Amino acid sequence: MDSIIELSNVNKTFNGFAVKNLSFKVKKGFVTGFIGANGAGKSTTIKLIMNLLKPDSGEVKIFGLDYKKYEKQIKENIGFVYDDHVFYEHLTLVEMKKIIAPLYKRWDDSLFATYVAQFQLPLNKKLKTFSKGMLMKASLAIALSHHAQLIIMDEPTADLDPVFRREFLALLHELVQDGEKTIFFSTHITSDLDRIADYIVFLHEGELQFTDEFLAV
Amino acid sequence: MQILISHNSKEPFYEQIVKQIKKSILANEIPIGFALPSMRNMAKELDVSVITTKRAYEELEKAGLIYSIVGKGSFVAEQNVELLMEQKQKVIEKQLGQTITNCKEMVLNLEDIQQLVGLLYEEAD
Repeated sequence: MDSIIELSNVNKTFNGFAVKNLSFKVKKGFVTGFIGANGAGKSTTIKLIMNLLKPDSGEVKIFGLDYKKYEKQIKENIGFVYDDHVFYEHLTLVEMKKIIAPLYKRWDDSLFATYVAQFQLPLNKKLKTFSKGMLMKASLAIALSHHAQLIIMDEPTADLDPVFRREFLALLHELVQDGEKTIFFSTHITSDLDRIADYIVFLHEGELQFTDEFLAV
Repeated sequence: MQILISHNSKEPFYEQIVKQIKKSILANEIPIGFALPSMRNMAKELDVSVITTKRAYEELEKAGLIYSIVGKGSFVAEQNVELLMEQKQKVIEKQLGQTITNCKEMVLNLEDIQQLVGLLYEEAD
């Protein structure tokens, strides 16, 4: 299986955003950067990939599987990092973890502890006291702790300070070392791309402009 | 083997890598049979994408400088004659280039230079 994500002729109109006849593939073992201006339809596309939105027409396949039949199996293997608040603010990170961990068969507590230490996150402070960067790190720690084969991130670097952004890119390098994991992330910071992205998918006003190998010039 | 990537250079990253590895091989800094780091490992070390190092290794393989064995890695190949010729030709081109620049400074034209080269060619033997 070469393509981990495959969109074929996907159309979706939603909240004034539209994705038009979108087709692209994301290759296994590589990092694909997903770029486009604000409002181009990046988040809509990611929601379609996550099955948070259903396409009006067209097909979305993850790991070669269809969401209609294999939703559980697909979600089990995806680590998702989202740019909005997805946590309960009044909980602490350790409480949040207790809610999320049972959802995954392959949740790895020691791996989670490693990331929490690496990201220097406080386990017992309420999440509402976290900065945006800290929330992103928390989201990342959770996404990486169940041995997902596909990591999907919506604007992961937007709120990161320059120091952690570098660490973050190093972490992505580390993740793709075995050639098994696939990373797909949206960004509008193009300097993130030349350090890590193997492929680019460029969206403009809901339409695919190009998708290609990215060999930074 | 040390590779430096310039983010300011106009040269693509993969070309920078190809050039530096090529140079190290031709200068015998890395010996025949030497195992190069894996593409993914080199990408991590150099902070570039895997596709960049993949392209660099492909170019080096095409040039016959390295060979890859699936599952084992990439190794420095035994240098072939053609390559050594190319290497020598490069040196000659450079030296001739310098000579021509010198001649031009002396306001010698192409005919003068050709005559001079002819004479010297006859003498050398």
